Amino acid sequence: MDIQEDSQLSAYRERLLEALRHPSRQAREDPGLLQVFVNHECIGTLDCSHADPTLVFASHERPIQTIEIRTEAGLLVGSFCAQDVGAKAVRFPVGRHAIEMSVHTRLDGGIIRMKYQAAKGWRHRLHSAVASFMGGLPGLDQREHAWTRALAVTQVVLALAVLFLVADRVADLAKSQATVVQVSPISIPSNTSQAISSEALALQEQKLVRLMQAQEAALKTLQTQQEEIVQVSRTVEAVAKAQQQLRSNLLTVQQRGADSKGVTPSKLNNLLLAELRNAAAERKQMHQQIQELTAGKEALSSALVALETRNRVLEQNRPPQQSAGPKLASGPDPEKPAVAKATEGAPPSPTAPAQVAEAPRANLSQPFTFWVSFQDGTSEASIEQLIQEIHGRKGQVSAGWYNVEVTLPQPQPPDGFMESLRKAKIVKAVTTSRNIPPGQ
Amino acid sequence: MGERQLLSTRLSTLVSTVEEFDRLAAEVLPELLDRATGHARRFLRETGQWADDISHEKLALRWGYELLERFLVSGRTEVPCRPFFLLDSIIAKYFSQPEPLCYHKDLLSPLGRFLEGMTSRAVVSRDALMALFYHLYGFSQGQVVRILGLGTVESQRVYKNFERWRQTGWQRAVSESGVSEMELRQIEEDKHRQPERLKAEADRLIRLVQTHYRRSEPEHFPCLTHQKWADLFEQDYDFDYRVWHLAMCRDCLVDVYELRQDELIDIQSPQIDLRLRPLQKGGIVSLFWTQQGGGNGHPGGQSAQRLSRTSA
Repeated sequence: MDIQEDSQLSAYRERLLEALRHPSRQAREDPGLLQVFVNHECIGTLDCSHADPTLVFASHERPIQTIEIRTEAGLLVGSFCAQDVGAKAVRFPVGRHAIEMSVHTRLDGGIIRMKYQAAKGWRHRLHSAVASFMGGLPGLDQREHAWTRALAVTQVVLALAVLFLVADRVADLAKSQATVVQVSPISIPSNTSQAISSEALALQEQKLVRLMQAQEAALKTLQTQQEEIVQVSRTVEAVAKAQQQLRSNLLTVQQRGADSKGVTPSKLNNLLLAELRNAAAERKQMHQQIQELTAGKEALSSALVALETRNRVLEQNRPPQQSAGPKLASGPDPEKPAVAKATEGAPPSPTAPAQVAEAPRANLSQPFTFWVSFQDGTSEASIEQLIQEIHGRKGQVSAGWYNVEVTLPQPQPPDGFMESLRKAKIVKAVTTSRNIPPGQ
Repeated sequence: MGERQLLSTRLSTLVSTVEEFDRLAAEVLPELLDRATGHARRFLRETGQWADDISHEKLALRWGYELLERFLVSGRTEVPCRPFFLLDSIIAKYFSQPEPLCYHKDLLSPLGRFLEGMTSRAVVSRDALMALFYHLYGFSQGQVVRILGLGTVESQRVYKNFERWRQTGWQRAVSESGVSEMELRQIEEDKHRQPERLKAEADRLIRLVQTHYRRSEPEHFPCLTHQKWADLFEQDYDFDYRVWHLAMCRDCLVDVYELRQDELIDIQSPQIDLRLRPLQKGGIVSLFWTQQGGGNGHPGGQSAQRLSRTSA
């Protein structure tokens, strides 16, 4: 290559380097339609003029090796070399905007999901800034944000209107001064010009009156707006106070919750254990009381049995009185006149003898308690054996006397039973009286 | 030598952040371009496609540039990385494809480089793709819309494509393809002196280039039969297919023109009518430039007439 060719080559190289240094990749505001290339083949486009444009591409045969995103002019805005297998998420800046892409590659294909995210405009950024600022203040909701924005816009419009009116007035004043200056030298010689100047002045007056009216209207509007602003600020303050109150209440509740939460693990367990202990003690006490009551009931029942036995014994020990009974029964009995009459006058009913016979049977079927003493030297085993033989139940033992209860069979009378018991070798004496044991 | 070793060491070290990557790449951009160019040169040598002349050097530089551009963009998503290794891997991956470069000895001429550069750009740029209809056949945007049978929205897009191409696209494509202003004027002179010879040469080279780059959209964009083209236009679908394939296939373009001849009476049949400069906005301006013989004008009365008639 000669010198000329060398210089051509150097110039070409410099041009390429310059193109690489300043690709104007970042300067583009609106990328328009973006072309997506997979393995250097265009597989689709991403229309950035639409809202949230997305592109999904699935390759079922060939693996995804390279992905390129280019503008319609061919400018490379994003390039990605995919791995053989795996998933990756990438974000390409496109000027102020961005493209988010997720790539899932396999050996036999892959999937690409691409989404264009447009940068927010200056209005949105301004609103966001105002919203973030207002968001810092407590107690402002979306409606109040809208109010604030509307107020801000209104204020700007009003300020512009006032400026316009002031500028208009200044311009009119300048014009009128110029007219007066121009007219004044001519107005002296000519009557017509005087009329014209007076008309001009009248017009100026009218304009000034209109201007004043407009200013008054603007001032009134401003006052109204100020009042509204004050009202809104009061509302905002009230809402803020309410929110503060709510926050304090919430904090109180949270503290209480925290307090209760702090106690529960340790103290609550102790309290529960104490309660359980108390309950167990009360249960024991109740059990003891029940046992005592049971013992008392048994004692009462035994006492009752003893009393009945005694009564029976007493009745049995009244044979002479029983023999005198018919005598007394033959006489007039004021308590049983009807029975006496029926017995005397009418023939006896077939049920009458049965009723009479039932009474002693009922008495004999009841338990019979007596006291028994044994010969000296009698062993406890012999005593127990005897009691078992008579199917007795041993009760109290007092001064060698054993209280024994038996259930006598119906045909056997207590006397016969006692007589037969007395015949036992080990028995010393038998009696039915508990209160005064024999020999005492 | 010491500096190069230091640089090599620096580029082989790990880059942790995007900012660090951008800073380092900006500092050593010439070295990175030389490295990428060296890879392209070696590939051409190894495949028997190299000769020690300026055309081959330009070809290697251009491919080095394109690969470096991809590295600069994709490297930002690859951090942490070692820049030299990443560049080498991107280049290796690219050259491992079947027939990665459109290489033919005849394409190393200024006309060949121009046609190859335009078509290569059309693969990645829709602006360039639309402009091919003008640069190869002389069709304006309105004629392109009618030949392709595009709808309203697509038509607007075509006009935008032409506008952008006129403003920046053409200049960039020509600059990157390594065709100098002097070479462009030489081609224009040849066209003026021996139009038929240049036309035949362009026709031959266009077929070479289109055959290569049409393969970049393999099974999705095959040549259709006459009947299928008729169905496609009758049922009015697949605009992208029409745009891509007809810009890259002259035979199909002629087929479609014949198919829609009744609707395209005032448009000439697609014949090679090479235009080196982009279509200007107004025919009068273009005519003025043509008569002045400078700037982006178009020599030849026939071209100026077509331009003034269709560019409105």
